[in-house]
Amino acid sequence: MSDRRIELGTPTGRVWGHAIDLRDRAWSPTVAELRERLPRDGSWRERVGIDSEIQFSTVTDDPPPLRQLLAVAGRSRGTQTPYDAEIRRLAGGGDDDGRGSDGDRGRDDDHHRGRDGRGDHSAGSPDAEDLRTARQRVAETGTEVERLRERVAMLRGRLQARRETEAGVEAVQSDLDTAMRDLTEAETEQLAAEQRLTQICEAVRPVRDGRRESMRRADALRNRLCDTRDYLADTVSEPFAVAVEQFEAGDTSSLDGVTAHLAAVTVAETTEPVILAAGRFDAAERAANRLGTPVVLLSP
Amino acid sequence: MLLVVTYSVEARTTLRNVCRTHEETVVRRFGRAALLAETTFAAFLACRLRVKHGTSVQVERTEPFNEFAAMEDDVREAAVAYENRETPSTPYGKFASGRDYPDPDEMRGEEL
Repeated sequence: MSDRRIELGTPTGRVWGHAIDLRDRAWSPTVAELRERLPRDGSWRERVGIDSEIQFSTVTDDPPPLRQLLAVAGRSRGTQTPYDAEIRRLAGGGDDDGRGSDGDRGRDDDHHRGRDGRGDHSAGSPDAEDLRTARQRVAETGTEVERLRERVAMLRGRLQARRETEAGVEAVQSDLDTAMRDLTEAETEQLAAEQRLTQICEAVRPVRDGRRESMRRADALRNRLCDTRDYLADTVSEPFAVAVEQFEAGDTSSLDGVTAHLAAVTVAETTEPVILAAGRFDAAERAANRLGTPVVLLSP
Repeated sequence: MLLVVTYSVEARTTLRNVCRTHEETVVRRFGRAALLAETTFAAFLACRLRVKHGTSVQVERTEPFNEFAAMEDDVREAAVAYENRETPSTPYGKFASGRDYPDPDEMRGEEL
């Protein structure tokens, strides 16, 4: 046998072998616990284009999408794609793999900045709070102007009525004068508020332009990642078909997920131990031989 | 109608989900934007989008553009005449000056 043997530390001592069956033992770790104790061969995971969340070397009854498995297998064989350079460029800092927007469920962009109180939105560009305040001010001043216009109209009417009956007009005249001054002031406020809103809306345009650019990059990155996955998967489609035959599964179109996963592992070039937690193999040894990697069997 | 435009991947996803869930409110969908029927419910949805995505959402209110109500006759007539011009390669500026139609720079400077 090759040196595919691994050493596993269990609570009751160390175990060696290339096929370790934990199903009947007292110790039943979770997949995560077990994985921590096993050697990793993650070099190809770091490379661009692979969703590093997928459990390539852990076979369960809930397998990841076949396309991704094939892409991982392809990458493990050292394959480069024509998209790699562009993906590196688009991903920039490196921790954005463009998997998309599932990250933030909460408020995105500058909502936090507005409430931060430290005024750290960039160089005076407005945030959502500024816009909201400006809109509110426009509405408030508008309401006030409306109110005062009605008041002025009402007082004019009253004044007219008083004049016609030759009753005292001074008090009403005075009220009217006050109301008209108030109205002029309110109209000035309204105009200022409207101008402020217009100004802020214009100032937010470059912020949105920048976001638009980011969106384009994120979309381009996602597309390139898809292209890479397809490319990598294609490079292993023949060996994969051969592996599937070896598992006696017939044609690949009606392939069940677990068999596909196993075949993908067979095709990959990795020494990482496989955790088999699907009810597929009776004997760990047979599994290890079939898969060509060290194997640890867990109860599903 | 209410025009909703998104400026982030997250906002676009939310808008997509909103449109899928409330089809009866959506008049048109375009990628990262949508036209919503002018109802209180649409306004409610727009408000929610603003709360959730801040400046990554832009909401405008639109009206059908009525060229007979919105502008002077001469501007409209100039547009019709220009579209029906004999020589396709003539730019509007040249076309207008020859015929006493509104000047493009003046029109640019004027608020509707």
